[in-house]
Amino acid sequence: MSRSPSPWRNAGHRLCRNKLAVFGMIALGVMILLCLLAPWLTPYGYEEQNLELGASGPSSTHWMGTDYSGRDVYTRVLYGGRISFAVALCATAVSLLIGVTWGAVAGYFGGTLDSLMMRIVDVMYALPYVLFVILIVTLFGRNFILLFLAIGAVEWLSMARIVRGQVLAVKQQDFVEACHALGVSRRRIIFKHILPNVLGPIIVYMTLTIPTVMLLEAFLSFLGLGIPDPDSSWGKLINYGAKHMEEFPSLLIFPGLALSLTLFSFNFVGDGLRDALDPRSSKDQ
Amino acid sequence: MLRKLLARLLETVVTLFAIVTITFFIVGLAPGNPFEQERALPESVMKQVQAHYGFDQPLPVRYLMYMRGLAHGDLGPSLKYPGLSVNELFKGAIPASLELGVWALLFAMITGLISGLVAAWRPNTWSDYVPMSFAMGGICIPSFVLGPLLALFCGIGLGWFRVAGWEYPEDRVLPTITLGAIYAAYIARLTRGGMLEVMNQDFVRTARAKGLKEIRVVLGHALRVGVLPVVSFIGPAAAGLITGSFVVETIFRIPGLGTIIVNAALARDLFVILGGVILYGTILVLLNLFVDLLLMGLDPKIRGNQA
Repeated sequence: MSRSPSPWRNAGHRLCRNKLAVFGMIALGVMILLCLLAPWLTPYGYEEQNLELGASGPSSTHWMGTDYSGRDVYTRVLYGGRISFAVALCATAVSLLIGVTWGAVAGYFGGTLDSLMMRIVDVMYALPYVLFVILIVTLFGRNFILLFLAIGAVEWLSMARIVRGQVLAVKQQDFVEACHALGVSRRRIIFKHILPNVLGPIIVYMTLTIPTVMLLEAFLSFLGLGIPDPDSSWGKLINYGAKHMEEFPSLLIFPGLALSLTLFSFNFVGDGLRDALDPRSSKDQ
Repeated sequence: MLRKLLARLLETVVTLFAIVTITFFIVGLAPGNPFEQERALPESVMKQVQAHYGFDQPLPVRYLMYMRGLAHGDLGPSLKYPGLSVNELFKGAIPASLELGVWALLFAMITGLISGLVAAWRPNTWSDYVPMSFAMGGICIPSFVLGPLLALFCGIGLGWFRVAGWEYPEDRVLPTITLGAIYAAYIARLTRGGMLEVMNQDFVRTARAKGLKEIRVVLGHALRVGVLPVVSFIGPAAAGLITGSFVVETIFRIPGLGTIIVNAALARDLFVILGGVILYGTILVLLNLFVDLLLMGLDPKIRGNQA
């Protein structure tokens, strides 16, 4: 007896036919591997200075050149990528947790609770939330955990909207009715039965949240409000590079390239996933 | 219609109130003392300084004091520039930021709409791929990479523009492009999407059947509806422009609000940040109100009896 292909497998096939998405996945895979394996890929230390050499352009010993303290830019880009990815993933996890719970509860219970919760989301949409992140970072000091908590806490609004819409549609279906009849608890219905059915849009939107969050971190670090010293992220490297680009453009170009390429890839994968998992929605949005 | 309008106005007032209150209490409940400096002040001086700014009062009293000031349009004193009020600081900086924002929004609207229309004209041909590739680039290259690169190539390399400053008309070019690029890209994508969806609808077929020229069908009939997603995007775009202007003002050394707020954040100048959040919050909330009214005017569906 042959089994019909699962929807996930179909989606996988559609995704693999999308050249840009495949390119994005490969580029991301390579980028993440490079960052993870950084200690084995470069002979230099992250903070290792070579003051005699000072700043230099790309050469055979320093592929991306060195900065004014003689630190190897290639090494710093790889280690900076670790921080950028780490902040992006943690912040996305925070936003996922808040957004999915908020949206699922609002969508499932409906009525007054729903309108109240979604009004709050609407109101928050209008807030200058980056200023709130800046405010929080200013008041409580710059540190890694606070940074991704703050970013995650302001980036969950769209996720909540999407999840709510999906839950509204799914909760009308017969199997949810059956769960009620069997006396399954509401919490279990939401998290065990409804949410797995709206996983597609959640994954799509999550893939699109990661680059947004990464950009926000880079933005804060660029302004000097992000990752504290001595750690560095791509945003901080770009900031340093922008200050010294007149003499050594390589200091700006390589970290900028790393960040842009990663953002490109995430967007390609996200768009590809949307087309694959949700063929009805047009890709032109 | 009138009831909806009133409800919308009430909501605006509530939102503004919420912004001020939330921000104030975040600031008030934060640990540490805004007057702490590298060199510790003597106890008596510290007490005096705190009393001068009303910081010896309990938080609710301070809140009421601040609200009373706000009702008179007073955003309080700057803690880092003694003698200067936040109002004075902002007043000097608003013209530059406002001008930059308006230029960037205009640039984004014009290039975005035109390239979106061109792309939607013949979908899936070169006239679609080329502008859409540029749009993808605009979305993925962050302003703080684009800005320095533009300064490097057009400023230092070709010598067309100065790299920093805000005195001459040509100083506006690079910051405008840097700030507007990403929104031009989003608007192009939204316009393309909106137009493609509209072009298949019945009223467009009717317009064609009447024998109207294609250009009138597109610009006179389809665009009016196809542009709706772009109009709804103005609110988020303005919010993004404000954020983006922080970076662009820093890169091109423009004496605007963004520079002041970033410096205040680095120096922990509380009233300035608080004032910044309130000022920008107010602008955004009012802008969103304006966009909603505009949508009501454009879209017969919203204007009608929809809940």
